[in-house]
Amino acid sequence: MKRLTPLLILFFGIYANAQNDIDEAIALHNRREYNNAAALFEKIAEQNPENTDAYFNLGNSYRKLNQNGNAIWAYQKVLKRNPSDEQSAENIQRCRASLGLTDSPFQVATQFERAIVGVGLTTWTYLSLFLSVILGLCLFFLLRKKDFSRLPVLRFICYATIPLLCFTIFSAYSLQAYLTAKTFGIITSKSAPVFVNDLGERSTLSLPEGTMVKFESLHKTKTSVTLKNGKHVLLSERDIRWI
Amino acid sequence: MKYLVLYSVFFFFAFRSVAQKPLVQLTVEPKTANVGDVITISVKSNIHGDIEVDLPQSFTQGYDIMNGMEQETDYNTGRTVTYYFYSHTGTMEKEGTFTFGPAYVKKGNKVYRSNTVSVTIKKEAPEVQSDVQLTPRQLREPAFGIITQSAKSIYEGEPLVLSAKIYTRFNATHLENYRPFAMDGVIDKHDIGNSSRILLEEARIRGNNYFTFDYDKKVVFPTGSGKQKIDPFKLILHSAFDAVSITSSGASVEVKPLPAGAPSSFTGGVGTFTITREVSDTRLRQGDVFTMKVTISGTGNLQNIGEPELDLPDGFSPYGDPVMTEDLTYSFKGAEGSITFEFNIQVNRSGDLTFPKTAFAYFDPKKEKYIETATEPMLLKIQANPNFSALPNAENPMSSTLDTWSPMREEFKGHSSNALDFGSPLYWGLLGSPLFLGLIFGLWMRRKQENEQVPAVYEHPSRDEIIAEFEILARSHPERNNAFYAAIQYTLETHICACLRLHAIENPSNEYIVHQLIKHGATDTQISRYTSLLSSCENAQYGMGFAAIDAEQVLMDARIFILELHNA
Repeated sequence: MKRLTPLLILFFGIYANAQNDIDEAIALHNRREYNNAAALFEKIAEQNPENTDAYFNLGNSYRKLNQNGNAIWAYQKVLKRNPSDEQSAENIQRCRASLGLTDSPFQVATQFERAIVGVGLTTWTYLSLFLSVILGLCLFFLLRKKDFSRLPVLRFICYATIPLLCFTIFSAYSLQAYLTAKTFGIITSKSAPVFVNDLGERSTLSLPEGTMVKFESLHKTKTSVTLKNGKHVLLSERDIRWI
Repeated sequence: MKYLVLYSVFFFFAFRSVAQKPLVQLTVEPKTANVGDVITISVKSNIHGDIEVDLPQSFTQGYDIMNGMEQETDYNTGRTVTYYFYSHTGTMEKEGTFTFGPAYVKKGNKVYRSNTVSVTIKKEAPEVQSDVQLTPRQLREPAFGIITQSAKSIYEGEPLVLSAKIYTRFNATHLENYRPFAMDGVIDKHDIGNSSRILLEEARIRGNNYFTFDYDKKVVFPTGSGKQKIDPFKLILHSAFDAVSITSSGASVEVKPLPAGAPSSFTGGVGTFTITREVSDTRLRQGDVFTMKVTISGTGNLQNIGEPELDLPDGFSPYGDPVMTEDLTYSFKGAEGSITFEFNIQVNRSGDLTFPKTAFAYFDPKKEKYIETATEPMLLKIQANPNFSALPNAENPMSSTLDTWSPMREEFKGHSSNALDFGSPLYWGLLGSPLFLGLIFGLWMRRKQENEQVPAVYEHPSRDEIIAEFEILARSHPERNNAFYAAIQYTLETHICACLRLHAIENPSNEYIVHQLIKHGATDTQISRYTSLLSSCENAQYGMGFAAIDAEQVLMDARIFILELHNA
């Protein structure tokens, strides 16, 4: 127990610190200091990417600041990690309505990603570790005796754990790739100019705030993205926030 | 003729009313800057032509020039307007108030001119250098860095200007791998007047000549009070192909909490501000919704100011959330510009109603006290509307506050980024170690068990049993044939192994037995007797009768040999 005490103190220290930050940010929001609240929520969300509530509150602060593009981005961050969050989906609709956007946005997650994201990356990670421990024990007990036939239950557990372990590792890998991939983005500036080439020459078009774009490729100074209607355009990276 | 004139006049005015009004707009940012700070001049126009800008003589143009165009659609009229942009940067060499512009757009024979912009340039604020003294070691280095700060002590919310200052003995060409200085508790920071190039100046420190330049100038707004540490910056400075790694000394700043006794209208403003208010209409009908714009202008932490509280008398009710619009730039003085809150208010009563003043308090760090300003009260003339019936809850259900439909989530969920991450070396180590350990320990255990299986040892018979065995052997082979000699040979081998307590092995060779006899201290006589017995047995079996062998003698010799060995 003595050995565990520092670990427990560390864990609860981190937890308490994060909760304090959340409380402080909410207090700032309630005091209508939306700029400060948004900055603190950003910091919390950056430190705890799995904390969807920080992103949700960040969206609320941005909404109050009338920065609907940023608000949509924050709510999309919540939806990316929790596709069943109806409140965030509703808020996105409201923000899009405020911006006068009528087209339907991209679907961020595939069916498989929607299925695995509900479990959570941490759970998949620890589940794979647990299964590796089970498999390690099975291996130990099986190998120490020459005659495997005497241990049918162990043999069954061993054979069943191998595909399960592979599946959990694959799920965790897919989920991490899904969470870290910058596939979709939101235009957060009031008007994002569309460029003709990589040299900064502007076209006559510009994209409104809140437009959802899909990453295509990265050029020297500009980023190529795809719009919902399938068109490819060049944008400046500073106009986009990746989900 | 009369109709011709009339048509001409009609078409002239018709075209004039529909025609696009020329727009040439000049903007200069920031409007207050230090000598040497980067100033951006932008011209926006809906006329495509040559652009020229009147600039003060002490303005030095930089290398960052950008131009382009974009189209904007007015959703009310459906008209699309093309705007042309031109912007460039530069610096001012002198202090004073300067007028930038007008900008001219020349198209054909026509010249369109823009507004002018007044910019105040101040002598660079004296920098307070970090309290870390320059060490002899730093002065010996080819290059070193320090953090400069605009003040050593500030109030919470007051802006602080920080920059990285680098001193070099060589002519630096470029830098890379810059890791900026960091300050705990600072989440609100903005770049100001940073040039993309290294602008070297000469300086003399303790008799030595140095080149020096500023980098990464930032205005920051620390939160929380107390002594706050500023962590050093790092970079690699190049002079052509040579490079020097620099880690600056650190710094600190004392952040004082705001004094107690803030007025009720204080919403977090620290700096110098003014408040103005305007309404969309002062003559209204009962039930009308009018817009009131409250604008707070000035310098300080403008970006963090909360909306002022409206003192709404009876007969007025808020209609939805206020909309906030910011028009500010960041300079060494903090956030400069204005912030406008647009309130929609419904009038429920009729008559001449006085709308009370809107108060706004802020903390002035120079005077070190709270200052309250307020707008003038205003009179609204409201015409009675017999069809109007006030809603029980006058608030518009359409624009209920965001907090109603989207309450804040207060519980902390998630984990620290320090926790075990998938894909990290720690994860793969933890995943592989049970499998590896299971495999290794399993195999080790098996090997250990195998080693622990002690091979059987020949049974060690008693003297009587040996005699009995030889008697049985003599009786069982009355013909004294090959089988008899083979049985003698086998009996000899097994009894020697038993007497010497050797592990049981199948068909021990003669060499092995002789080797074991020598190892266990048998005499040469014993060994020669054994070999003689063996050769007798083998001659009897394979010699095809050439040698005359006395079978009884061999049997007796063998028995005596074994009994002697047994006794020994």
